[in-house]
Amino acid sequence: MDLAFVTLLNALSYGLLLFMLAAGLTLVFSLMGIMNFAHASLYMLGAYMAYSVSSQVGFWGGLVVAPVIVAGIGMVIERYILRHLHARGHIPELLFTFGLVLLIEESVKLVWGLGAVDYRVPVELRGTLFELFGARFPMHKGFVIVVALLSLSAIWWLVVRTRTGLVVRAALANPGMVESLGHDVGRVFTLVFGLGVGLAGLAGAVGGAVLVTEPAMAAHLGTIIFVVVVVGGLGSIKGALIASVLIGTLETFLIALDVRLSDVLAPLTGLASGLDAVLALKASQVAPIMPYLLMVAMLIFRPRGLFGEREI
Amino acid sequence: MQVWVLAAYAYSYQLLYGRAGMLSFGHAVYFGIGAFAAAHALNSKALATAGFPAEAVPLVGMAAGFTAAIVFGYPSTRRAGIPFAMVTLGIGELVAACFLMFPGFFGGEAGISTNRAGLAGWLVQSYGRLPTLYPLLLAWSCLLILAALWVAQTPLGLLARGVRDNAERIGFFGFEAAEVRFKVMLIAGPIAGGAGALAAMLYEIVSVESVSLATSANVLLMTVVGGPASAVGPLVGALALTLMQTALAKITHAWVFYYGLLFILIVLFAPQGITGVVASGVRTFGRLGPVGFTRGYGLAIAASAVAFAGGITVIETLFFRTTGQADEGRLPLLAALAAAGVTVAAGLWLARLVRGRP
Amino acid sequence: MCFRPNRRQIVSGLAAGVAAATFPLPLLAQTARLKIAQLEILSGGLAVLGETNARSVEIGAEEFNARPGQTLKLDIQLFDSKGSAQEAQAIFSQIADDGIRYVTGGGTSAVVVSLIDAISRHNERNPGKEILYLNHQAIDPDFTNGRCNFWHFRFDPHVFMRMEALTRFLAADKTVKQVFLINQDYTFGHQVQNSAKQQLAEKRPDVKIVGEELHPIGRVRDFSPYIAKIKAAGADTIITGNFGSDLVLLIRAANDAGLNVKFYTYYGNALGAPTALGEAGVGRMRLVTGMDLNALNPRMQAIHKRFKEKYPTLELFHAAYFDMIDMLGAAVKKSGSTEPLAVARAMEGMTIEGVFGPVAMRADDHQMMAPLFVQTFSPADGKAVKMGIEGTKFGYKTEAKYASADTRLPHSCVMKKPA
Repeated sequence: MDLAFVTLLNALSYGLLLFMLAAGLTLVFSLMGIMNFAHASLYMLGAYMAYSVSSQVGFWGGLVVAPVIVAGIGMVIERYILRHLHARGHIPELLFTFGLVLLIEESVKLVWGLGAVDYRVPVELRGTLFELFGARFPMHKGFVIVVALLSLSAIWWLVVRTRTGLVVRAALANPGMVESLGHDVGRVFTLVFGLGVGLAGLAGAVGGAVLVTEPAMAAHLGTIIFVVVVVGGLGSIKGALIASVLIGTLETFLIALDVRLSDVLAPLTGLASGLDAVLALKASQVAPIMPYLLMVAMLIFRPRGLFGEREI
Repeated sequence: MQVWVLAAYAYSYQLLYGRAGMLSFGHAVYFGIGAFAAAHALNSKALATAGFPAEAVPLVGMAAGFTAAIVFGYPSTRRAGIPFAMVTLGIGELVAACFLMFPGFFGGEAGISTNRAGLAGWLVQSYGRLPTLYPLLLAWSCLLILAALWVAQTPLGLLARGVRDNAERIGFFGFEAAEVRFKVMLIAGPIAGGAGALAAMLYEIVSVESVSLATSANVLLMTVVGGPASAVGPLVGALALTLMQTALAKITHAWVFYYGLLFILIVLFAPQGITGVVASGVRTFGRLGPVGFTRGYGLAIAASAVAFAGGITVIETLFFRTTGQADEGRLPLLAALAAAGVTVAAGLWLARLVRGRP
Repeated sequence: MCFRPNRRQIVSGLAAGVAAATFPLPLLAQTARLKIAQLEILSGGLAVLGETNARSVEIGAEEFNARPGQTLKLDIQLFDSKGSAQEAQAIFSQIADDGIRYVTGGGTSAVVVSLIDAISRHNERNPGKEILYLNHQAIDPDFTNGRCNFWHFRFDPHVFMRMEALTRFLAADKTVKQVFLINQDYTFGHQVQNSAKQQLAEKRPDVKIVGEELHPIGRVRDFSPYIAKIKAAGADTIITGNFGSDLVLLIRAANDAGLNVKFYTYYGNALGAPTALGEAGVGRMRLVTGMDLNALNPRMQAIHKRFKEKYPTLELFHAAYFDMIDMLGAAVKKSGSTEPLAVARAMEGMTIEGVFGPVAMRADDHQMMAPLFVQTFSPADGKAVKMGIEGTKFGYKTEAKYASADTRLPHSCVMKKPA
């Protein structure tokens, strides 16, 4: 029981880190229709920026400044490139962000080198938050949870409670009408894109410290966040939240479980002698493909995702 | 030879993306499965004793590609546009992960080795030596490429184009868009599988890399860079990629950066790819004559040359800085900064020129 | 460039080899050039490893060529294999076309297998134009056992030999009672796991393997569930072949959970592990390696200095390159030829003085027997730990040295040798 509880908290911490990434992606996708392939690359950029900044002004400074820089980069990209591509449809936008993945990864290698950099959580966060039945829950994981929840509430407040949020939602429904009411729709889009990308930067600044800041970090999370967005459903921050935690839990618990498929299917033995290779796999070995299985199944059977307002 | 095999693969992708507008991030699934099937065929003792000719090995790859297209193509072609891209990405990752989970059949991360001389040929006893192999590969690649081009001309190809441009209207004509997409996939799948089989014969090893996201991404890059709608586009794209991977990789380690840059520039300024740029250049030349052409394009070419030189200086300097060579001092860094200024200025100028072009 | 001539002379004298000195040397009259194609992963996720290999060989060859009276000049041509087996094949046919007769390099198993197979096929199909593969880094035991080949020589002790050194060390430590094995789910990880089980059972039947785990490579972001399992199993020692972020995250998760165990690793000195762990790894991360930075001979000190001057961001963490270069030089001298066949025959059974003592190339499987070290991650104090690595204040303290003969294992190679 105690083990399950701590495992659940671990899953929550990982899931919420995924959520910070997925929230930005789903925000941009649902409002602008842009599937930003380079989202995870911007997450990596956030981590490296935070590393560079924090070596000057300390961890907390980096945590604040890096997302702002990344958001700025995102806004420049939106304003000067994506907006021009928009007229040609969503596919060129996707292609462009796909190219951006290559460019950002290579640039990171050029600027910061090929290996990992020494970016870690500060001493204040290295201790144990609490101990339960002998299992420790580290402070930095609690920190991830807090930052994620804070950013979640900030987005919610921004989109639901502020005037800007109102304009954003209106612009989504009918950009022409909002335009004629005198709002600068283009600027709204730039802001939204900057916000989404800034969230990725924040996730990077946090995730880079908790995990490892290296050129491969974007590829490690790159595809999993698309899974989260698709499973959660379009335009639904709530869906992204649930899907993140779901996938985090799924992966973590499959590892903690010690079963083989053959054990589960023991009553059915004799049914599948040709599938020995499949049945001999341990649950923990199957864990990495589960999210993709979930995503494909979701797209086929429930295209709108868990909480999507419309089909993608 | 590598170019022709890649080109066959790229033409299969062009059918999907260029003709039917299906942007796939998992096309390597069909290529890789074809390659694995071909490798197993070449290694198979039963086929060897049955006298299965080496010339027909690509057929095995095509059959495998076809099967894969039925299994994976059906669910993915239900959707179009970005959802299609996402499904294919998911399926691609799924298949790649599965390949590592079953080392018995797929050889784990070392892949499976094969010997193309394992099966006797029908025309030639053994295709072991490259000079004997090349004509066979060339013939098969051309066959696959021509098949892809031919399909584009058939009613199905035209329908596919309709689905790309306006799926709804195709619906009014009584065609199911998803069905058209599935049919296109059923043709593109085997062609990719055949190309995979050719790769297996050429390289004599097939590994997980064949089904990986990188292989899927490569074919996308090739097709877009070459020209998604042009009949010679994929060939040009395959040539460009191969040149970059060999010639450029020898000169600089930062070749991936340049490749990404080329791709982005093409997406931004030349959606019709290299062939599109050349074609429009030739057209303008014909219209304006040499003098007018130089006046109109000379500026753009000069600007891009400056931008290019500046960009290269920056990148190479950075690269030397990060890979060591500390004894070269700070001079390159200053040069890089100066060049960066020039690059940005020239780049903006170029962008304005291109946008201002009629 | 600042190699001291007196040291150089001593070293090159050693390198010439005992056997070589007594033979007439027809090559001495003029300088011979030997082209070697080196394939490394220079782009993608493992680029830092490829870059290190490339630069180490570069500096090693530079030093070799600059020795006084050197009549053999090594000309290394570098290619980017991109970690791709197909790419390696494409490069290989280019190499064969260019008439380059020696290939070296490393990378993933897929690349190395494809190279070994390509070379064996090429040599069968093109008699008289044989190509020789000098392997300095790929340590899959299979390459000198089931897959062994006359045209492949390995200069680095393989996974099982390293495990032999590691288990010898463990066997001597009576506090070790319960061992947990956690590895990446791929060939190398399986090999570490299986050899650990087998060799521990032989040396210390009383040590219990309390658990074994294979996890997907490069995909686990949170190792705490694994750590919980390890903790529940009551392990005091962990053996892992993990590298890069898989190693860093594993050890960090153990620290978070307050798990007080020793980690015996293969790659604790490379790929960002020292950087990302820092003090978190002190005293608990141990390493089996062929490189001892605390006991460099004068020649290696010069090489190390030059390397760090030229490539301050890289780390010299591997010794096999230098033994490889020396043995190649000695074999060319001994055979009086740069023909791969003659050189290969000369290398079979050859013993030279390597960078950390005598090293021997076993003729039956073409596996080099070389010294190995077990070390502990510790703060650099200038004495026991001569230098920090990866720019940190931490390095490795040598706990034990195993001479070439200590890790000599039987092999299952049945080699077909040319007549």
